[in-house]
Parts: sequence; C-alpha cells; structure tokens
Amino acid sequence: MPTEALLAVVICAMPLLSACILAVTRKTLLHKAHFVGVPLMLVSLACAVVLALHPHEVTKWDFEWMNLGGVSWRLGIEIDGLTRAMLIVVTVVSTLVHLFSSGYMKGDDRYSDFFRWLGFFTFSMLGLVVSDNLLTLFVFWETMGLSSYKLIGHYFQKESAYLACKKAFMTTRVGDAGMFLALLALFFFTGSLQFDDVFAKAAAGAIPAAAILWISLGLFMGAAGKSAQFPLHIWLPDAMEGPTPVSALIHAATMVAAGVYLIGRMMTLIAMSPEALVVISCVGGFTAIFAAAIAFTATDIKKVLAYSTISQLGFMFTALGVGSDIAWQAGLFHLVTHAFFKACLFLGSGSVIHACHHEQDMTRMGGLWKKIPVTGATYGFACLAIAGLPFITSGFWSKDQILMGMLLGNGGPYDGVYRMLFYVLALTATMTAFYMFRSFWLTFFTKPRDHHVHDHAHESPISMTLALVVLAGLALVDGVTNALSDGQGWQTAFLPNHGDHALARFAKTWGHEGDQVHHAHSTAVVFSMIACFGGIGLSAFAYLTSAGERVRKAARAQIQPLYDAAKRKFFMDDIAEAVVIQPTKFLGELLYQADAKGVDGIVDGVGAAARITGTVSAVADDKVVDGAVHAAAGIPSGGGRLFNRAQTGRMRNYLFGAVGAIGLFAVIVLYMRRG
Amino acid sequence: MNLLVLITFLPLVGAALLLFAGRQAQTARWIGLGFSAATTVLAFMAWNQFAAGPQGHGAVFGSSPLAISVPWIEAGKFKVNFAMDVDGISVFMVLLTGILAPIAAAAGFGIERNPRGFYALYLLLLSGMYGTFVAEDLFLFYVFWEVMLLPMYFLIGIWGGPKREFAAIKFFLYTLAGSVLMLGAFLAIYFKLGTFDISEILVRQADIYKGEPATRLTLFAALFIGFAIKVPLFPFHTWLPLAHVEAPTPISVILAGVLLKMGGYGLMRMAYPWFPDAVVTAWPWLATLAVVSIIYGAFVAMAQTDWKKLVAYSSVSHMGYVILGLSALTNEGVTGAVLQMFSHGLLSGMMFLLVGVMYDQVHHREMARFGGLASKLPKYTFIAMVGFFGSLGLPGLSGFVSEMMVFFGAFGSKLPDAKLYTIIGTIGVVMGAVYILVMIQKIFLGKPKEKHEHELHEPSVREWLMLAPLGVLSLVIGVWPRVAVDIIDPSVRAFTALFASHVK
Repeated sequence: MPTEALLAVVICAMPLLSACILAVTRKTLLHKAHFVGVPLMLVSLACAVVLALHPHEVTKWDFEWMNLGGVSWRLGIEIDGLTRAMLIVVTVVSTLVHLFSSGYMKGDDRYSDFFRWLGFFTFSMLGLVVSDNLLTLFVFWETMGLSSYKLIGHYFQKESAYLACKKAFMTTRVGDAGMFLALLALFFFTGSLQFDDVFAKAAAGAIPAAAILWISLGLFMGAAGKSAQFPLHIWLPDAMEGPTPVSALIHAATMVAAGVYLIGRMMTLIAMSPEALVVISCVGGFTAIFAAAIAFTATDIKKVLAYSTISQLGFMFTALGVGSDIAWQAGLFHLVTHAFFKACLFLGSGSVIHACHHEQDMTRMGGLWKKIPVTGATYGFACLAIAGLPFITSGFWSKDQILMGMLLGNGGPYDGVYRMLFYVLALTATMTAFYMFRSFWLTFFTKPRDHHVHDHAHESPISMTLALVVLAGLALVDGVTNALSDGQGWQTAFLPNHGDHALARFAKTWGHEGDQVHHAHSTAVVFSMIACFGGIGLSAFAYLTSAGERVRKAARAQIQPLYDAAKRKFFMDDIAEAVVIQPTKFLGELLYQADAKGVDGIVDGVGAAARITGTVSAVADDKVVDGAVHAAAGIPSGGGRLFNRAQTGRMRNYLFGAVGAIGLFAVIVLYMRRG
Repeated sequence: MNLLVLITFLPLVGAALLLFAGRQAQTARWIGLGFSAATTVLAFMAWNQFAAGPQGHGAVFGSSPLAISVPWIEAGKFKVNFAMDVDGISVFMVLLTGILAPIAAAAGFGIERNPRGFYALYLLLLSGMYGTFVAEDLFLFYVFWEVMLLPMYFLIGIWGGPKREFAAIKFFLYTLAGSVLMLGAFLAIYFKLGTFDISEILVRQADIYKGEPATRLTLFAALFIGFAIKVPLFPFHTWLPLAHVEAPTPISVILAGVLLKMGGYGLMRMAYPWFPDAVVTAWPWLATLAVVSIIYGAFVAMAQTDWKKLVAYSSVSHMGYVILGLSALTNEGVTGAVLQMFSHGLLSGMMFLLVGVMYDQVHHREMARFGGLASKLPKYTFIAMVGFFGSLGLPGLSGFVSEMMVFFGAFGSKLPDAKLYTIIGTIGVVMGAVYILVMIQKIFLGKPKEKHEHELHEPSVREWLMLAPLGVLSLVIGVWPRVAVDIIDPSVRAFTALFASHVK
C-alpha cells in the first residue's frame, strides 16, 4: 500500500474512530465529547494537508473485494488533485464545525450523540472522495444520507424536526434510485465500476451513445437529490431543523456538494453526451434563479442561507454542464470557495442565533453589529465573498470563471443555450448580492426591532468566533492568491490529472489566451462586477434608506402575486404532497384493502370449502384411526375442537408418535449403515 | 458420525429427552436452548468442513465430502436412499438455520404456557428444517418438509395470539396445497426416471417428458407454485401476515428467518434446474410476479398500522428480490438471491425480535400508540436502527449487498425485457425507505404518546444476546461478503451453467 493511500486511510479512519469511541462512551464522556472529536479531526486535517503537498501526483491502490462468477470486483482508493482539494475542504470545515459545536451545543442532552454522528458523517464524506469506484462512492453516499438523517433529526422530539429528517432521506432516495440504475447500466456495459475502467471502456466505444445519455441523467438524478436541485430540492430548506453547525457542515459546505463532486468526477463520461450536458446546465441554471427568488422572501436567517445554497449549487451544475475544461474547473472551484464562505455564513448565523437566544427570525433582529462585532464582521465578509467582491474574495474568482465558461460554451450544438444561461447566472448573481446583503442589513444594521432580543444579545465564546475568523480568512486568502496569480490559483491543480479525451474535446484551455478566451474573460469580469456592486448597492438603498423603503414597498405591491408565490416556495411542497405523497398513501391503502378483501378473500373461500371436506373426513377418521394419526388428520376439522383435545393429552400422543416415527427412521438408517 | 445426520437428528434427541423430563419450565427451556445451540456448533463445523475442501469441490449437489447415502427402503422397483449432502447453497442455509436456532429458542424463554410442549415441538421443527436443507433424496426431502409443517401448525395454534387457531389452519391448508402440487410433480418425475435421487434427476433432467415442453412447463408450474407459497410470492402470500401476527415471537423469527427460505431453496434445488427450458419460457411470468411482490409488498407494508404486520409484509417485498435474482439466471443475480435469503433471515429475524421485545413490555403493537422511544430507550433504539436500516438496504449491512447483487444480476440478464423489470423493481428500493422511515418516525421519534403502567426498560442481557449477533453478522456480510460469496460461488456457477444453452 503506497504511503499516500495509507494517509488517506488515516484521514478517513480518524472521524470514524471518534464516532466509535463516542458510541461506546455515551454516558461517561457526555459533555466532554469534543475532547475526542476535535483532536482526532485535527489529525485528519494534518494528514490532508500533507497529502495536498503534491497536488499533481495520482496515487492508486485497490484490492479484490469479491470474486463472483469469475468477475473480480475491485475497490480502492484514488487520490488526484480533485480528491486532495476535497479532502482539505472536508477536513477543514469539519474540524471547525467540531470546534464551533463545542460552544454552540453546550449543555445539549444529546451532546455526545451529536458529535458521534458528526464524526460518522465526516468519515462518510471523506470515504466518498477517496473512492476510486462508483460502488464505494455509492455506499458512502448512502451512509452520509443516514448521518444527515440523524443530524437533521437531532431534536427528534419536535414534529418539524422528525418530519424534516424523513423528508430529506426519502427525497434523496428518489434520486439515489436513478443513480443506482446508472450504476447498473455502467456495470452492464463496462463490467466494472472503477472510474478508470469505465472511462477507458467508454472511450473505446463500449457504451452506446443513447445509453451514455441515460446513464448521465441517472447520475445527475442522484446528484440532484443530494445537491438539492429542482425538483428534488424540497428537502433542503426543511433540513434547517438540524442544529446550525450541521447546516453548516452538511447542508451547505460538504454533503450537498457531493452531487457536484459526482458530476465533476464523472465528467469524462458525461461529456460524451452533449444532450446530457445541456440538461444538467439547464436544470442548474433554473434552480439557481428559482431558489434565489425564494431567498428574497425568506425572513428566517437560516432559510435565506438554505435557498442561497440551493442557488449556488445551481451555479456549479450550470458550469459543469458546459463540459469544457474551463467550466469544469470553474464549477469545482466554486464548490471549494463556496464551502468556505457558506460554512462561515452558516456558522455566523448560528452565532447570531446563539447570541439572540435561539431567535432565527430576522424581522425581530436588527442593530446587532455593535453587540456581536466579530460575528458581524465575518458574516459581512462572507457576504462579500458570496456576492463576489472583486479581487480580494474567493467568490469573485470562481463566479467569474463560471461566467466565462458559460460564454465560451463547448463548441457543440448548444452554445446558444449556454450563452442564454450566462445571462441567467449574471442576473442570479445580482440577486445573490442583493438578498445576501438584505440578510446582513436586517440582522446587523437597521433599527433593532425587538428590544428583548437586542438587549440580551451577547458575543459567542472564542471556540465559535475562532471558527468564523478562520473561515472568513480562507475566503480572503483564496481571493488574494488568485489575484496575485491572475486567476491561476491552486485550483488549476485539478486539471492535469484529468487530461482525457472527452474533456480535451471541449478544451478551451485557460491560460493559453486565445482571443476568444480573452474576450470572454473581460465580459465575464464586467458582468460580475456589475452584479456584485449593483446587488449590494440596491439592497443598501432598499434597506438602509427611507426613500429605499418606500420604493421597496411600492415595488413589492406591484408584484404581490409573484412575491406571495415565492414566499410559498412556488408551491413545490404542495405539489409534491398532491402529486406524490397523497397518491402513494392512497395506493398503499388501496392495495392493502385489495389484499385483505380480494386476494385473501379467494383464499378464504377455498379454505371454507376445504373446511367442509375436512369436517366430513374428520368424522370418518374419528371412527377409524386412533392416536397420533388421529390428531394429525383432525386438523382440517377446525381448530377449537382439536386444541381442546390437545390439552387433554392428545398432543402428547402426537408428539410421541412423531418423535417415535422419526427416531425409528434414524435407528433404521444407522443399522443399515453398519450393515 | 456423519455431521449432516447428526445435525438433523440431534434436536430430535432433545425433543425425546423433553418428553421424559420433568414439568419444570426452566429445565425445558435450557434443554431447548442447549440442543439448539449444539446444532449451531455443528452447523459451523459443517460450514467449516465444506469451506476447507479443495477449490470448487461440492459445487454440485451430491459431491461434497459430507455426503452420505445408504439404501433405506427397498420394495421391488421402489427404492429410496437415505441420502444427505450439501452444496455451497444448502450449507449456507444450514448455517442460517444454525444461527437462528438458539436465538429463537432464547426468544421463547418468556413463554409460560407449557414450555415443555413448546420446546419439544420446536426441536422437532428444527430437525425438519435441517433435514429439508440436507436431504438429497426426494422422498426424504418430502418427509422432512412435512415434518416441519405439523409442529409449526401447533406452535402457532397453541402459543399464538388471539386469532391463532384460524391463522394456524390457514397456514396449514395453504402449505398443504403447496405440498400436494409438489408431491404430484415429484411422483410424475419418479415415474418417468425411476429415481428419487436429486442429483441424479438433475443429470437426467432432459429426459423428463422429453419433447413435451407443455408437460414440462406444467410440472415446473406445479413445483414453482408449491414452493412460491412458501416464499411467499404474490399472490400466494396471504397466509403470511396472519401467521406472523398470530405466531409467538420465536416462531415468527423461525418462520421468517428459515421457513420462507425453504421456498427459495426448493426453487433453486429442484424447480429451476430440472426444467431450465420451462424457466426461460416462464421468465416473463416469473419476473412479473417477482417485481409485483417487491412493489406490492412495500406498498401494503406502508398501509399497516400493526407493527408486526408491517414487518411481515416487508418479507413479501424482500423475498420478491430473491425470485427476481434467481430468475435472472446470471451469476450476480443468483448469488444475490442466496445472499438475500441469508440477509433476510438475519434482518427479518431481528425485526421480529425487536417487535417482540417491545410487545413483551407494552402488550400491544399499534404503531399509533408508540412514540418517542428514542429518547426513553437509546440502546434499544440503536440496535433497532441497525435492524431496520439494514432492512431498508443501508450500505454496510447485508441487505444492501444482496439487493445490489440481485439488481446487477437482473439488469445484466440476457432474458427479454430484463432491464425493464429491473428498472420497475427499483421502485421497491424507494418504497422500502418509505415504509421503514414512516414506521421509525411513529415508534421512535416524537414524544411518547401514552403512559405505560411500568417504566419501559432497555433490552435485558438475554435479549441483547439474541439481537447483537444478528446485527454483527449482517455487518460482516455487508462489509466483507467474500466470507459467503467464496463458498457459494462454485455452486452458483454450476447452477447458472445449466441454463447457458437455453438463454439466448
């Protein structure tokens, strides 16, 4: 086993170890669980940093898991640039969330359980990104779903919490069914589930074009479930029922990014089908603007972030759907930058909620800037990052590259669609800046609207603020390094390892400035700057000035129906209820009735006929046969009579008879054998 | 002494001993448990001996070093051998029986009503089950098959719930109907070939009504229905929910864990390999019934209000996977089917135990009246999650591996429309999550709905010893299926090879 693979195993094993220790010591370590979780995560993080030092090398290691009918099922580890980046993201965010939770969850009854599932989740996510095959990827994909279920349902005594965790699991399961079918088809055509094999066989033409389309869509169905893309996004806002650190780790930074990772990882295959690509882009683009619209109307600070997450994930899918190397890199780059600033935003919202004694409604906040300055400053910087403040924030660079990738397209038949999506994303970026700053103004500035909340607000302990500062710092560092290298930051390390046919087909290779690339770049920069400053400026005007407030109210009156629809999440939950849930329940009930009355009715009818015959034969038997045979033959004559007999000793007769008869067989057999 | 003979008749010795033992309940319980546990040891020994043999030995039934065959009944032309053997598939089923035997015996410790009779019948049942899995002679097989039936009837009928008598009779008649069909087919085969030897019939299967495909199809159908009742496959499943709900916990465990596997085993051992042409002809029917069972069982499970009935209907759904994988006639599919039988044995056994543990405390099974167990009983909840999520097909536990193999096998099958059936079958995967999660919500989450007379308590040591091994085994198979696959693979290959010339 190569050292690097061993390191990867250690990285994955640490959080699992933490989960196991905490499972065993539930009571003894109850309120000291972070003493297990945090140090082990730090070990993991250190190993991930060591691994990241050689981003251009690819390490592989596998073993035979099963040999079935001559087909070898191999599983293993593959570490390339993308995996390294993901390992860093997951370990960093997870470590900080562990740290943050030690403050935020203090005094919780199920403190230890919380850390246990946090550890198990981290293990699953890490396992997912080091997998060299789709099978273990799927395995971890599902165990991650379980952790998410457990963590959303942390407060499972609350109805909203247990409904939310169920909804999350079921919705993602629908997507998983599609993904599973894609796995079946891949195995059918290529006889393997290892990425290398699959890509090599696909390139050699082992999979028909139509099948590639369907397989890609199946994979995307799984990704859409996990990464909350329309129409499978409905679970994510509800998932905010989980404790806020969970929202940060799972429902913003890492797990929801697993779908993006999957599509990114499988891009070599998916890029062979331009139709699949364009579907992914369109769904992503639609989700981005759709969720942004809902975010405008949310008043719960976590719900704003939830819809913004859905929207940002939409950005990533839109980019990946282009299939060119630039857009591919941009989509995954955005995954990384988003993970840091969104974790910062979520933990920041957690800090706000903590400060306000579990008040989440922004309409009751306001003026908290002075009360909780560290939280306010980090939240503000993360807002700048997601809005894409030029040059010094990471979000600017990744969003800019996405926009550029959209403009360039892939040279295929659907470039027009991508260009249209460019405008959709540019508009969404403006909306993003607007609604994110709306939440910032409403929370930290404007007049305090609830004096009770305001007066009792207090800054969070160091364990929490430290996590915020580090995450905000990462967004800054990321931005600055890119600024220094003119957008050629560390994320370029993704690419060389993916130098394969399908991507090369659409190569627009970044860095070899063709005129086209250069031109697209300039346009993208202009649009992202307009989006950022326009959005921030508008929201400042609308929420910080009295003139703005009048305009805002007038504008809202103009679009009242649209506003109401957005407020009700565009009726998606109602539609799901009416179209899927109720019919399913009804069908279950219907089939059960049919089962009890129809299928079983026939059987009982036959049974009744048999009983009549049985009674007749039992009467005959009574007079002819005796002992053991008697009891046995009496059975069809109806229970009551028989069991009365059984209790008066008949059963013993039967037993003696049966045991004796079989015993006799045995004796005969043994006797014959000797002879 | 031959291990297979020993494992089959040892429980019988226990049953005989019980008849002469005193009336003390405790004695009966420990004799019951002791003899069951002894068969567990023997089952592991048999597994070990089988596994220790050279590569690929015992792939075909009748060729392992454990085999025994002595002339038994001879009356003119009528010859019956006392023949026993195992192949990779049956040794696996013997192991499953061995694992569940002491667990179910321990689950019966709570039974107050005539424990002596209970354990005597239980041990008799055990003999029947082992005998069925190892019999190599049709006559012997049939004897054991019927030996199982009677104790089961009494165990449900005497120790069951309020509607036990009706349930017992229904179970009996239903199974008897299956036995009659089976017996008819056996006799038809005997009169054609003049032998009861299962492995010899396999070799000469082409001679059974050679050139009369319609007759062969009829015989196959008779065998198939006979075994499908036991599986149970839609629409022959209606005895199952009733029998399960009325049966006492240990009997539910055995019923779901082992008896249902008799059906699948019979199909693998007899119906399918003897009539490969008919299987291929009947494939659309087989696949349809399998897929309908998977989905139908899941939907009906969802509509249940009785906890135990939900678990019972989940069996219909899960056993549908067995038929789908088996009928696909691919290595993956058949391996998946065998693993699914084993996994379902572990997990459904576990689920019935879990229901039973709670029933013993609250004396009802109405899901609507539960709630909030997770906060009251965290340990019980933990082990329950292993069982229920295993049943839902969570990766890492055995249910996932087996269902996955079934789907891989079915998708890769060369039979017509195999992919379509597989795709429809995945609805079952989603629905499986639905009914399990709804149930978990009702029982474990939320707040407690009613006060109980006595404070609820966590599982006792005895109950842990019943539950934990099943969870651990499920985990072992789920993570490292090789322990099983390496043993069953040669037999599976031999099985699928029979169909090679029929599947185009």
